[in-house]
Amino acid sequence: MSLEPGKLDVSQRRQIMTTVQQQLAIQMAQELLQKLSDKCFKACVPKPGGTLSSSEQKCIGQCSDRYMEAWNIVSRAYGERIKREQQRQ
Amino acid sequence: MSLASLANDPELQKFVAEKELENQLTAQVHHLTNVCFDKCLESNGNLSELSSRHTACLQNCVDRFLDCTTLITNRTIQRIQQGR
Repeated sequence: MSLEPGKLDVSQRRQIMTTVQQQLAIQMAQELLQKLSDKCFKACVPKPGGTLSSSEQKCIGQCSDRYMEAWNIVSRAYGERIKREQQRQ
Repeated sequence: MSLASLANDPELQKFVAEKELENQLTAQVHHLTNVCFDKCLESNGNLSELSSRHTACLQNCVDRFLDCTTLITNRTIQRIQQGR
């Protein structure tokens, strides 16, 4: 398939868009995981021992669930704020 | 497929611009969650659920943080305009 310089065909464009989309999703997931680990390690493992105890594991599980819920609440509140600001203008 | 062809593609440029905006907004949500989780849950992850009080705190936190940012931005612009 030869390419006319300066022109992408539909499938090439779509391929690039998909790749970009995937990269962004991966980046976002990594950032979320990093935040989750930081927060929940800090909250649940004050004194690292030889293993993670079962109570520490339970805490970490709950912590990451709560953080994800908090993320959704914040996301919604932020979206609504933006909408309010736009309506004001 | 050269970079030149990518740069000349208006549909792709539009797509990239939209994605960049989305990215900025999502990054802001990450930052807000980071700050407000600590403020509202007092860095306590060990909760079986979020109460309505927690939810209200998170929502207020978002709005107050953005108010704070707006205030600081306006004040900074004022200072610059006054040439201080």
